[in-house]
Amino acid sequence: MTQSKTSTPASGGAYRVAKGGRVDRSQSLKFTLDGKTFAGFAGDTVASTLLAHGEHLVARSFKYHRPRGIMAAGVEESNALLTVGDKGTREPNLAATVLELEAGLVTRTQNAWPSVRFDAMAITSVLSPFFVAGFYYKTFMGPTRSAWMLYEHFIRKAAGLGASVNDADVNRYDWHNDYTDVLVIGSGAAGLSAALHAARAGSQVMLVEQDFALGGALLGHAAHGAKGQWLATMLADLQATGKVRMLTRSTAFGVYDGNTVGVIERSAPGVADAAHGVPRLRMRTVRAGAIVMACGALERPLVFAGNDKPGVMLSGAVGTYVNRYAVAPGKRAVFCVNNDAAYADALALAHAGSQVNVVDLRSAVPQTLMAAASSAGITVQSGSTVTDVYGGLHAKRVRVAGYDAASGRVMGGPMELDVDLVAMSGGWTPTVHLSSHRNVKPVYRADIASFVPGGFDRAQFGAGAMVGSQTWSEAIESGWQAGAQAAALSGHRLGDAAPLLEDDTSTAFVPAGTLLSDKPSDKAFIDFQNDVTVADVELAHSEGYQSVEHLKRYTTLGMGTDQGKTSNLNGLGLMAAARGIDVAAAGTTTFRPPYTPASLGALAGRNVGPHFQPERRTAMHAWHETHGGVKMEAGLWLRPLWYRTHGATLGEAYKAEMEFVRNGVGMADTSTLGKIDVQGPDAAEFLDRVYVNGFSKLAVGKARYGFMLREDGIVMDDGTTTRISETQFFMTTTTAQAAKVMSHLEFLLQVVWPTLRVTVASVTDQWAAMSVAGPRARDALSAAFPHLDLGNTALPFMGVLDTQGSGALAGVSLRILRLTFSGELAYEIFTPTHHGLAVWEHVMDAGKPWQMRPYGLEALGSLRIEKGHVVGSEMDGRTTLDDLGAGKMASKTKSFWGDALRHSPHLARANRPTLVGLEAVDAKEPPSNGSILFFTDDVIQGHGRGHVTSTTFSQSVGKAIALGLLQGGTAHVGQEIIATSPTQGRKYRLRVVDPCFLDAEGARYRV
Amino acid sequence: MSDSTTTSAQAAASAFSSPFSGHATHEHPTRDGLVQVHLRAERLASVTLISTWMGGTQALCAALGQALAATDLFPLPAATGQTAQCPLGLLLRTGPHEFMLIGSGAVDVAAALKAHITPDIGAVLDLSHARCRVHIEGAEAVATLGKLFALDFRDAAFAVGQLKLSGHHHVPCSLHRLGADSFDLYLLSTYAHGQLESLQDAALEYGVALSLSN
Repeated sequence: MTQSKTSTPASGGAYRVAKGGRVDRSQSLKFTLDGKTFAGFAGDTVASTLLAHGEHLVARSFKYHRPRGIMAAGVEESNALLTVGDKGTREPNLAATVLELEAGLVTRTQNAWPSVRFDAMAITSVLSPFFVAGFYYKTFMGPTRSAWMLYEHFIRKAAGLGASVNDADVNRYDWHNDYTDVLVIGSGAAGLSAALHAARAGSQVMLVEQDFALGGALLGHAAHGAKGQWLATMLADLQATGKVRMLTRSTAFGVYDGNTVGVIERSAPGVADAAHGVPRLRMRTVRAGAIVMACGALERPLVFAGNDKPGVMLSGAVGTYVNRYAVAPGKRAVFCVNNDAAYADALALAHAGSQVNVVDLRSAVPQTLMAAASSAGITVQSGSTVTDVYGGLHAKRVRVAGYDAASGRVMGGPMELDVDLVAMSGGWTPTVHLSSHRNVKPVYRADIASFVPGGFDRAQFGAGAMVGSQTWSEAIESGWQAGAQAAALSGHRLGDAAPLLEDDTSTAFVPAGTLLSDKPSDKAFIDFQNDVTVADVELAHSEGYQSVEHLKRYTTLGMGTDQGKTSNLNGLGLMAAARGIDVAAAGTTTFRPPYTPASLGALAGRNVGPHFQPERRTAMHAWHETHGGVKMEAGLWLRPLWYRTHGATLGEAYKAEMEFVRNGVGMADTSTLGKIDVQGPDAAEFLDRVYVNGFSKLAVGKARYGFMLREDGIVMDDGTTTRISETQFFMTTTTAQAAKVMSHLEFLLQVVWPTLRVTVASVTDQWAAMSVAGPRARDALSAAFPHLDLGNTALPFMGVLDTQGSGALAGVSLRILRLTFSGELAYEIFTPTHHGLAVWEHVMDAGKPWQMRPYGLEALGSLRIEKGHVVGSEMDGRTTLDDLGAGKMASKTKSFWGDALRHSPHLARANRPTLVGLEAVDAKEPPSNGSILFFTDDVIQGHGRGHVTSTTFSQSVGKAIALGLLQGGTAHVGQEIIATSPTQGRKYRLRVVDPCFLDAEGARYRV
Repeated sequence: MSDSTTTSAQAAASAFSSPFSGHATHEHPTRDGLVQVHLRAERLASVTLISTWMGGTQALCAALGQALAATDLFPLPAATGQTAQCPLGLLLRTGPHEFMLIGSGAVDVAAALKAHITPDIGAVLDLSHARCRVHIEGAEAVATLGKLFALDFRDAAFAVGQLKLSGHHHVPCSLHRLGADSFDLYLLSTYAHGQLESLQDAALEYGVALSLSN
């Protein structure tokens, strides 16, 4: 989307100040809210544009559906949450205060029907006395335990903020890894100061700022004033160092181990372009040598009745709208404050032409402020407070009463003022979220009535308002020092002094009493987003939910998208007062990532669709695709499950494929088998220790099947290992366990038997493999490689031939193993991967006289079930050698890994389920994998006597067959049992048989 | 070279297939027409793994030095991540007990090495079909790689000539820095097709061109 530019921009709204601000009046941008078009300027936010047009009412509250307006100018906004975009770009709950204005933006109000002006659900506000904290817990307890399931359906429909969509997200998201010497979080006065020091000292600095402009709180002051000039100078100085990478629109949302920080960067308006790979959001994983957190502080609301009404805003927000966006949010304003700093906001609004009154909770106001206010036409009333705000959809009038700051009590002498804007400033709350992510608890400083970081993790520092600085000078100096400390960690030092800022002011404040009203406390809001009132906190206290963690969960105080940024301190103060303890003793809740809501799209990045996980292809992949192979994921491999050329359905095709393997010849791609090269003088000894059976006496040129166990005696994997030379072996593993076996072997060599002279290396990628199986396998292979003697004498069962191809394949290495998985005469052909396709095509071509065809994974699996061969379904991490009927393979003359514990009482107990064959008594369909086995006279409940592990329909047996693990195992051969599938509600009658359904003597393959 | 050998080599060469089969040479510029990342994918002629066991490194290095005629002018890479160009090709130190030699295929590297590295010293293993190479260069090469690999690409951490062992999605990959904006990536062959796709996708926003060799 591109920005629209007009040479004659509109005025930008009736509340737009004629001059000033940091907006670009040459660029007029239009957006819609609920279909109505508003115009603003480049540099505006959606909130500032709405305020410029006099629109405060943009939301309804979460629980009571009370009218809500824009209250802040930054991430702390609790009320003005909008749904942005449509269909595949739609995203709910975005704060209008941080939504950068973009031409064509489509926004909607949420949580109201039919509109925010008239919301039918506002009836809940009338019923609010019933919807107090703990309402759900108390109301939906009965009458039966399952009644909640009924209520939940309706409650979930009514609850929540905004709504997600099911449309696929059309935006693109990305990830990036970043490294820097010093990461500075926050570009206010302290952050800029820290960045400049670190950069001048020689460190590489990354400065991240969540706003789309650098400057933090400085942006809330006039660009032409001292603070604005200081900001401009600092930015130029930072640029001049050439050492600072400045990222705007980038929120550090979490701090993790090893100085790792999660940052989500938003694209500038009009930049994101999915078709050209430009993301809307980019998640940066920043690993920093040192971190300076200069996260600032958030202004604290005051708690009086009606403080949630549209038209009630934070004082600093008013200052920001006037100075940064050139918007005066009201014509007749009352500022209710407890500090000096808020006077700058009042003065800014007055200078913008509005009528301003200041109500100061403090009994005495500095004379300089009084004089400045007077000259701007501002009336100041000290020792007073706003107690009530009146108005339906907007603040219209306020009640002002006397206030005794010493006792925190509201006194008499009320008066009323007509207003269209109420600005409140209850002091500031340091933003301690990020330092808390490292499990450093904030500590309470009574002198500033705030929690500050209780310390910092290693190589992390804090600066500015976040650590309690109360003046600009303090903030700059603390940033300078933090920058020095951070730079020193990367070996850089500088002796300069911090850059001075004239026009220093203090943010010190006199803490307000918790409730500034003599009215019922159910209209004085603590948490605007979750509709938590003073009354809710009082109720929680009276019902025993007095711990701050209980308070949070009982009332929902501090939950939601703003995570209590404006509500925590007021809520804690109330509870502390109710308990008669100080806030320090009450403590604070735990801050966890993310600091602000993080889009799931950003967290996923490009790891979606085809990039969700790596893809692994065999050398014959393209051949399978062009010959009707239907792919399935086997781990990360893409394997042909069956071929469409053999049937219209999987069921048809795999039976056909089994048929020609049993009666002719077929070829399967077995490249996915794990392959490991084992070399060294002690290689044979190593394999003796790894496998349950011996390998040291295996002759060169011979292969042997073996099992290996885990340390706890459970079977880990099986496979065939071939002796290539006295000191070299070629091990194969199952596809699924290849990586695990490789790691296991490396662990054993590095940790358990480091003196063995053995190397291991994965050669899975080096070798393509194919299995040629069937009664005509020898014929087909002999035709393919006529120069080779593949007869039973020259290449007997478990024999190996390392050779070269001939003719068109001259010079191509071949390793031919005579072994079988299907139970038929079979050969495994290994060839270097890049020759895999050529060898496959050559053999397939040579096999034409015998109608050789490919067979897929389903047929491969079914053929092995007929033979009773076990795979991962049986070697499921719980079974022993004896469970699988392979106990006799274990050597009694040597020790091997897992041997000690395989005899433990638990693994040797008599009633363990062991491998059996199962055949259907009356059904043609096999039972589902995982079906539970019972005897016919058992009560069908619980875990039964075992389960079905693998099933298929056997052409050879003419029945549905299965393998299973059954207590008592083959002792029950001939017995009829029942398999049940609780999830499918089905039962099968099965007969227990030997696990080998076909050719138990091996006559078919020993030919 | 005899006639029969020539015929055999030609036949073997014709029997090669590429792990990048399905990819095609192409260019995908940015909206502004820029191409800031160039990728070149290729099969390798010769890759040899030379390794030994714990305690065997000294003997292996001595034998390898003899095999490669290492001198002061051509020292073996002394630590993991170091590389050296030697008469038989590019020697990468891929681990404390392990080297990888990327050859041109002109000579039988394995045979040459086995003459010096006997089984009691270490293992010489042909991995020519197990690795592929993708060359990446351009103004945004580092930015592209930064999306896939959690590596510090700053000069002090990853100097020209160095090798880094890393991975994308837990799949191993070795990165050899050839210049400020130029790298060779050594990929496992069976993952190479998908990883090349990932690289192209990562580079898309910068404009990317792909070329395929052999």
